[in-house]
Amino acid sequence: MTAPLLHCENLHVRFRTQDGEVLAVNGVDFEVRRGDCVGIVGESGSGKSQTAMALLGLLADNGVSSGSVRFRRKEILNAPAEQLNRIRGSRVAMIFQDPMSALTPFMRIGRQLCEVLQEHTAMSRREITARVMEVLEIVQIPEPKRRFEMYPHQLSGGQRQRVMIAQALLCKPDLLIADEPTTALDLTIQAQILDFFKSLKKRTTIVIITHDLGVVAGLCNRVVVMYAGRIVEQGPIEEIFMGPQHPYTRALLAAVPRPDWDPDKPLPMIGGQPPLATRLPKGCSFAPRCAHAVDRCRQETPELRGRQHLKACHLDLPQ
Amino acid sequence: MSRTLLRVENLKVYFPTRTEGGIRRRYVPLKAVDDVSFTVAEGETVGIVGESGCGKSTLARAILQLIKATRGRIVWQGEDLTRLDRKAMNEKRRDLGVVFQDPLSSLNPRMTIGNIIAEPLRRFRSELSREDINAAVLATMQDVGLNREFLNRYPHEFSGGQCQRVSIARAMILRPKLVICDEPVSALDVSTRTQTINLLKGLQRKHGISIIFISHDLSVVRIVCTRIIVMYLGHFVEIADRDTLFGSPSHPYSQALLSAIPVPDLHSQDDGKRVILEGELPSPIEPPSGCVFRTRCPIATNYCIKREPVLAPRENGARVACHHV
Repeated sequence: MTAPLLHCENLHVRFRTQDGEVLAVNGVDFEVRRGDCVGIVGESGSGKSQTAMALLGLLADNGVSSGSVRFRRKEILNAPAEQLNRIRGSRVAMIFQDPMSALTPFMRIGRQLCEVLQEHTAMSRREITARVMEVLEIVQIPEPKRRFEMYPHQLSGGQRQRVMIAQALLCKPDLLIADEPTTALDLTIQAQILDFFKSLKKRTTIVIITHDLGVVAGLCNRVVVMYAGRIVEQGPIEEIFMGPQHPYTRALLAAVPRPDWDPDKPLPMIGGQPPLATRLPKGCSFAPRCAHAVDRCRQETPELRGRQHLKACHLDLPQ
Repeated sequence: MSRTLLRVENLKVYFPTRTEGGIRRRYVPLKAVDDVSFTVAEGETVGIVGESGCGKSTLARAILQLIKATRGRIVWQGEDLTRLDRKAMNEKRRDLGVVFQDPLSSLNPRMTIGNIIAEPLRRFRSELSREDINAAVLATMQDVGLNREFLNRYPHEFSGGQCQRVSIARAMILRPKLVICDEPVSALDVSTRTQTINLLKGLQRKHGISIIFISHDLSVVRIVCTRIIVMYLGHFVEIADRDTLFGSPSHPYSQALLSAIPVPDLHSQDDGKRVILEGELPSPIEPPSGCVFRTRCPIATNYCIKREPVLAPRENGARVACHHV
């Protein structure tokens, strides 16, 4: 078997804050193979975004990461900036949730896009412009010639997100990490962008980070579910959706109102609140909210176990 | 049929905006809400859905008289709210609760949870003693599932879901007849969202209040509301009962909205029936002529450019603004 494109092992992310140390990511292991589309799912504070930021060395100043991240067999976690800058934006590209704050407001779209290629390639000016126009066509932006001359504020949210995707695709990256790429968008625009992501899968390996299980369902082939800084379950999408093992995954799937749910019945819900990262409970972090928790869950932290379909739970729940 | 509580008639809310271009600059109206009419009956839950910029929040604010209506009437229990002076309107507010989208910014950060929830009582029920107010606050906190120990704590100590419970408690404590919820769960995570939805439904049933529930999330609206209004660019394009709208949406925009819901189900995704709209919402400053939806409509014809469709009843009971369905 070939080595995975991205291999993340025992990743920890800590932040020093006034309220003490926050353990945002607490020992995360996963791998991404070429051609995969992996969905990392979790609620706010689950550590999904910080995992992505740590992979690329983009943590805030008070953040420290440890563990191992290998991209194409090379260790990149806490690598020197020069080494990271060679792969960031060219081999690995990232798309952020809010396209307005990720684009430079006083630079024309064309210049922002050309800059990427000037930085990472030895292409001539003419080749660069041609490639930028080509990518703008790929992301199906209307009137690419006109957009080329525009500033970010002149575009709508959906168009800005397309520009972000274009920027990410310019250097034909091996891996595209998208952090909540459709969350800030309207429903019909989200549908357009998700549809586009489906076609993108043929071009590149994708890691998509989202709180929305519906986004994952139509897109990914593997799913990683995170809770309170840990992976609680991961596996092929069919198994996660058709046979979820972890009580949190089950609750999360049940909590989304389905089109055939009887609206007069109360929705199945997870009681309580997620734990604070400064005060994680002993044992399984989900135990205080788990309907099935036993004493062992409150004492021992379960490890992520399994071959294809992994779960971090002491219990073997019936289907 | 229960009594009509609120009747909105031909409501228009226009904002003056300036066009670009130096000396020729002129004022043009931004038609945020353009000639809409609907009613809310006692105990009814009406959903208003649409994407950002469709005017749904403006409509809510106009009903509450937080924004002045440009034209039209807002008849509340037989009285036109648009004609009331400020003092008379403020008296009406005791029957009109409101819950906003962002739970943290709609709570005063310098007031304790207890004071936030008690404030409507102090304002409208000044005859109550301190003990009575305290008892009512605690009862309401219990109603919305807030621990009584939170009484003297501040909003920043709580998560979004908890803050939204405080907002709901504040809106409910006067036992209003109508509560307007503007995207009350959009800022919440999945698990707290379901808690909040179940809470709102429970309170609605328990106290028999009417709710206007504004949301862009159709899967939530389906759970909460019995009648649903679909808005697009300041216009109502469809009004239908829940089962009618979700069972057989008539307007092409309703159909597109429904099929755009990302369902966490592997089988509902690739049945080829998804309608993906092209293009984006046009500017409400220069809305398309005729039917406002025609620029993105898969079945638009020349006729749609010329004539504006009006909401008209269909066989299934829905009212639809479309020339072709």
